[in-house]
Amino acid sequence: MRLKAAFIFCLLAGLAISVSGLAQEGHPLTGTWYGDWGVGTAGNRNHLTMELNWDGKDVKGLVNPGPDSYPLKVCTLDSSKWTVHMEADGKDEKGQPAHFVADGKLENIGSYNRTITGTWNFGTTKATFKLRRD
Amino acid sequence: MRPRLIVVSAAFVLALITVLAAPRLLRAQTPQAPQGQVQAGAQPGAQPAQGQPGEQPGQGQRGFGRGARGGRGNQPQGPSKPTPRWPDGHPRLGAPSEDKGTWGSCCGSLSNAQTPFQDWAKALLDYRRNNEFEPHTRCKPSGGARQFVTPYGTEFVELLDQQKIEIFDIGGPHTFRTIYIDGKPHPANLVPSYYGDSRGHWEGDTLVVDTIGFNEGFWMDRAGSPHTEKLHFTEKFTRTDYNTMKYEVTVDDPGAYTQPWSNTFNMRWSAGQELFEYVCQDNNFAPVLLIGNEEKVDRSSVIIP
Repeated sequence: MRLKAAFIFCLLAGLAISVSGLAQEGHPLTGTWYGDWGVGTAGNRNHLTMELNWDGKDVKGLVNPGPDSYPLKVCTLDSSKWTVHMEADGKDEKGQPAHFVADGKLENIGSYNRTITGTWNFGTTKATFKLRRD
Repeated sequence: MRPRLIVVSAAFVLALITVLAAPRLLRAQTPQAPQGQVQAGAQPGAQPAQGQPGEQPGQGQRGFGRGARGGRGNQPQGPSKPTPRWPDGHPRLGAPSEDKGTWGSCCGSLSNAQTPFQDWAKALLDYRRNNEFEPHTRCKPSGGARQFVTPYGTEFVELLDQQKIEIFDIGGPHTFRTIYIDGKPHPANLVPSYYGDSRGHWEGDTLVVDTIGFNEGFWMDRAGSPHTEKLHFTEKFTRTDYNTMKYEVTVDDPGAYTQPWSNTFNMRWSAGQELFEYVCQDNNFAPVLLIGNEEKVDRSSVIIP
């Protein structure tokens, strides 16, 4: 039992060390972000993953990497206010095509696990989103 | 009554002299920061080296303690000896075999008011100046000019038979960078790393070092000038005399700056010093730079990035 616990501890420690080794300090949006969007409580939230990358001029992004992924059409950072604007032609929670407009605030910038929170709107639906850099 | 008054007065005067003289006496016993560690180029907006992570924050500014700005050896006195040379005529960047010594730290901030930042990079630099969470304080290696601002300076070891030069950080992460001088180009498909891939060649008495392949896991200078993986660093090392190393650096990073930019500094020889054991994790005096102060500790992650 102790051996098993020690193994799990070492595994987690190793994971922590390897993840921390990937820490980057470049453009604040570059990285993989996890979170959700939706209206109201936890039951109505939809999983959200974003891969963002600064190419020197623009931030390119992919929403929910995988078979249902779609690219961000717009992703801009206003570094004077640390606000983020994103637009994409994706799908809503029912899988129907929808144009998203998201505006958020980048916070805790000095942390590896910085966050973006804000509004996530499509059509007449007003939702919110939160993302945490992982 | 009168003799007693004289004794009391004399004691008072003696105590007064002691109190007034003590700071001067103490200062005389404390090693002073080497003059060469202040930037020589007098670049507008440039700053001298600040407190060294791994040491108590602010120690560098106050200049107390051994090697507060790198180098705890003897500071050279009087006129410098000429530049030491190898038999083939090239300057020796490290200590000649009959001597020992290291280079003190050189450059707090590479950037200044004229630096062509992209907007996000300038904003991030400003943020970092107010919220210092530098990876170096977490004992991570630091490439670029940041290598030359580690506590206790750096030691250059020239391995001519292997056609490479090792630069050891004495403090901080206590690691080293390799500069290959075998004439081979950078490898293709470099995996980004803290020190990147450095290739050097001699132009007269100047070692020119070209480095690419950096990761984004460090600050490239003490002030926190941002960079991306597109960073291309060109350094020129010229030992102008025994005690002085001129250090010229050009930063080309289209991910963070609108055009290449340069700066120049001097490193000062710290005579008699050798590489010694330094364990960054032990007795780290920079917890504020690790996780913030007691009023504002970053607890957003179980992982210290």
